[in-house]
Amino acid sequence: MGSETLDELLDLGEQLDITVAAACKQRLNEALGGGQPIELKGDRLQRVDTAGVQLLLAFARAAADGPGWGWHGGEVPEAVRTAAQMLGVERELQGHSV
Amino acid sequence: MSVDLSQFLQTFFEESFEGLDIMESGLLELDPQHPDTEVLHTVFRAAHSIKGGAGTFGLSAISDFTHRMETLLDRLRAGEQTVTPEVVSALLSAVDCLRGMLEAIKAEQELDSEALSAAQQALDEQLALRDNGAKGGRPGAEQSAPAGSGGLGRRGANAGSSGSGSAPAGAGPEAGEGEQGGGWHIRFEPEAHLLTTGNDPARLFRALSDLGALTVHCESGELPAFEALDPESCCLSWDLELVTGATEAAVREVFEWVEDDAVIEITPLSGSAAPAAEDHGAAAEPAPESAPVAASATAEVEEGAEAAAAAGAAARPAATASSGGTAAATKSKPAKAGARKEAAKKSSSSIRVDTEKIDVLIDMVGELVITQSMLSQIGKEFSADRLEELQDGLAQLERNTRELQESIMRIRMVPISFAYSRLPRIVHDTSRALGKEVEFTMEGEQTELDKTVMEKIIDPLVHLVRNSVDHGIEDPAERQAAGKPGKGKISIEAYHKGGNIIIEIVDDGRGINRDKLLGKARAAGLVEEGEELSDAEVYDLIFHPGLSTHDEATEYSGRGVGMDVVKRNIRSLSGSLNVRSAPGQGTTITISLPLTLSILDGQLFRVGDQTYIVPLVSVIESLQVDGAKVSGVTGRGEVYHWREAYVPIVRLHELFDTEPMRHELSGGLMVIVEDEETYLGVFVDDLLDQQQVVIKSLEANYLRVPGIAGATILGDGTVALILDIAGLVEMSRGGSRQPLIPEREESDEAA
Amino acid sequence: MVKILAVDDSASMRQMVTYTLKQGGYEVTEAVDGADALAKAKGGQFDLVITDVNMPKMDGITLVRELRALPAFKFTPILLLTTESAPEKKQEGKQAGATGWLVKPFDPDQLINTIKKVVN
Repeated sequence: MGSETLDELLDLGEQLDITVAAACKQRLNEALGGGQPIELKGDRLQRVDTAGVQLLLAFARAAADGPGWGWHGGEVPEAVRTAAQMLGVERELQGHSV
Repeated sequence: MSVDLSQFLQTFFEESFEGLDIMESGLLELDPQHPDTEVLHTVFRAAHSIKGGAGTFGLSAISDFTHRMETLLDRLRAGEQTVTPEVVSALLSAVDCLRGMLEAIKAEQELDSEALSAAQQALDEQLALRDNGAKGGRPGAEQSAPAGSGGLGRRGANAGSSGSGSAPAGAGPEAGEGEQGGGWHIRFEPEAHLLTTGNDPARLFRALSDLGALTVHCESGELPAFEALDPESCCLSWDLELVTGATEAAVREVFEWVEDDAVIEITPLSGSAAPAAEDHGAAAEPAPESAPVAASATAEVEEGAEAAAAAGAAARPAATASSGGTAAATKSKPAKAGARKEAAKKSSSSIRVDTEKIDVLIDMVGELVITQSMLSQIGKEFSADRLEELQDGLAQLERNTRELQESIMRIRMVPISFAYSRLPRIVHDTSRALGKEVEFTMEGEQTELDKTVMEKIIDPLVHLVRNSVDHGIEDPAERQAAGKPGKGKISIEAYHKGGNIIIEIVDDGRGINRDKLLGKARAAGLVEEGEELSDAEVYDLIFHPGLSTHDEATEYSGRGVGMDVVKRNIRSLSGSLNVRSAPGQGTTITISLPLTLSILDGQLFRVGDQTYIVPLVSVIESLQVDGAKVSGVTGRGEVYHWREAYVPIVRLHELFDTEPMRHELSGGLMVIVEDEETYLGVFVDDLLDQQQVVIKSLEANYLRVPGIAGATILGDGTVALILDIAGLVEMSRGGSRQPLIPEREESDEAA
Repeated sequence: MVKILAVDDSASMRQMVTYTLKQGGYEVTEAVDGADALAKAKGGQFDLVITDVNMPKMDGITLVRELRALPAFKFTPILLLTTESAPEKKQEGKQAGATGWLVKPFDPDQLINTIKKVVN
């Protein structure tokens, strides 16, 4: 029952694009409010667009200043990595080890 | 991907012919004084669709020609050019020309270049009318204008395939720079709403990276704090460096859809970070030869595609010319007509069916399957006490079969509007040529009839309507002198009555001159001196070969040739014609046609050992002959007093030279049948069932026999003859009592 | 599978577009005009709409406007099939909310390449 396992785990589902951006922001915002380091799960992501990447970017900045965040399993999900690379922001979306 | 576009041509032809019909009727409907914009839109849309399809399927001759029509129509609908009778005429002949072109291409024949250039010239003349006033350019200039003004590669490529033939437009000034420079720097600042348009910078950049090596720098300083972020707004901007040999136009094309949703600055990349403006003219310097590999490959692909499209466009007419060439060279025109006929025969005939009708059909098949499985189950475990169940099942099967049959017949039913479509044009052209004024109205367009009947009725209708304009309606002066409005009226109406479709053509013209017609018939020896005929019989003479009351034959209705053909055509459809006329008031021609040619509800009866069938709709009643009511009339055989009239009695055994069971009328059975309000009493030995029969053509399987419409095969395998009531009526009128079996059929069993 | 709603009043164009898209591995639903498309859009989910402009009943521009008003189609890529002769339709379409356009006449490859600009 170590306290490390109390990280907030947030599954991004299959889609992180403009159609779900508002809803996703809501969930991320709640997670940020929890105060625990946040672990994002993105292994099922199929569709990531600019709106999604932009949302992650804003989140990453807020989380880095706050509770900290990282990718579940440590690896940047493929869909996120491709889109972030294309948009020139892959460095900030690496995630910190939590 | 290779897609064979020719597979869509059949559909394209079909919809184009439909589109032409729409254009034609729309144009005819147009009143130059008060042109209806909605009609102009419809006509424009039809032309637009044909052009689009033709362009897509590589029929450049069609798309070029239609482009002219479209341009003219566009001006008319925008009110930039006035609708005049001349413009309408030019467009109508363009419609004809286009129809001819499509038919030729469909039949893989040469285009009629004379007709094409004449129609094209007529259009150009109309196009020039506004050009002189407003633009001062040749009509041809308009043609290439869109291509020339296109600043984007895509447009240029397309213009190439539609025949402008110029180098890809828009590539011009930039082309040199791109080839010399090492690539482009792109500043991309989307407006906040960009993401909501369905465009995605990530995809744009991916498209760029297909052109060369792309480096992306994201500027995220404007990105608000997470809480303040509107996740649907774009708050990022980018600086991109693309090392490529692609032209600025090619780069710009990537951003084509978002030009108005972002600031896009494209400047040539150079070794030093010199200000772009100065570098613009002299970007030659760095140009490493190795860099633009990917990019030039892209350019080649583009050109290749263009060339392929152009080649495709050229290939068809060429192929057409060569395949049609051999026949045309040796035999010229008649050969052309023959070949067309053949081609028409070859091309599969198709029918458009409302999906609702198909759904009904599928439901019925479903029921049939249920019945079948029920029956087979009964069959497997049959015992005598299940007999009732079996009978129920068979009754259900009968119902299913009948419903299925009716639904399938309904699939073949099309609205008569298809047959109507050519008529307004005929009236327009004929009345114009003869200096007559005619108001033409059509009613009952949605009345449905069998597709085959519909196709075969078109020519007779055209002929009858043309005849009404030519012979029926008088000159305006003559009408006014007779106290009638100068503008004549012709109407056509279709409706269902019983198992028939009735088509009536009514004019308010001079009517048929009964005495003149009868005089001619007597002079020609068709009617004996002293023989009196009823009005209907006299008017029917207009369908007699060689008779026409018009003194001078005209180009339009000819010399009495044709009306007999009309009658023959209608009779071949088992239909009938009836003419009523009142001098000075007009003529009404009524056509009665069966809804379908292939199945009828029949009344079966027997004469001798032969079974005959009459269509149930023609049967008025069956009765036992009262000998007191039979009488003989000189020259007209026997008649029967029935419902306050005298009905001719037909003895089939005399007509068909067979042996009956019974000769004595009195006490025997007679079926009263009707055709067009003429009645006959058919003397029969025995009345049998009523049932549906499938009509087989006697003509196709044997030869045409007067009085017989066809034959059918009965459940027990024997053949029964279906009587042609209209034919029998005519035979009874003619007073013929001779056997009418054609010469080659000699009866051996005279006893 | 990516679902596409293809709208055109011309049967041959519909056939061509549908055939090409299916060859390209997309799932296609056809509509014969704007009104038909709108009805079908309301009854289903699509990843892309590709529509002709000039159509009876409801034209392509109106269709775009109507689709954008539906929550499910707020962000869906919508492509217009415009023509050479009416370049102004592109701007009109964009203002109505269209994502982009493809200029007729086009060949199957152009169609697939254009589709790839907006969907996977």
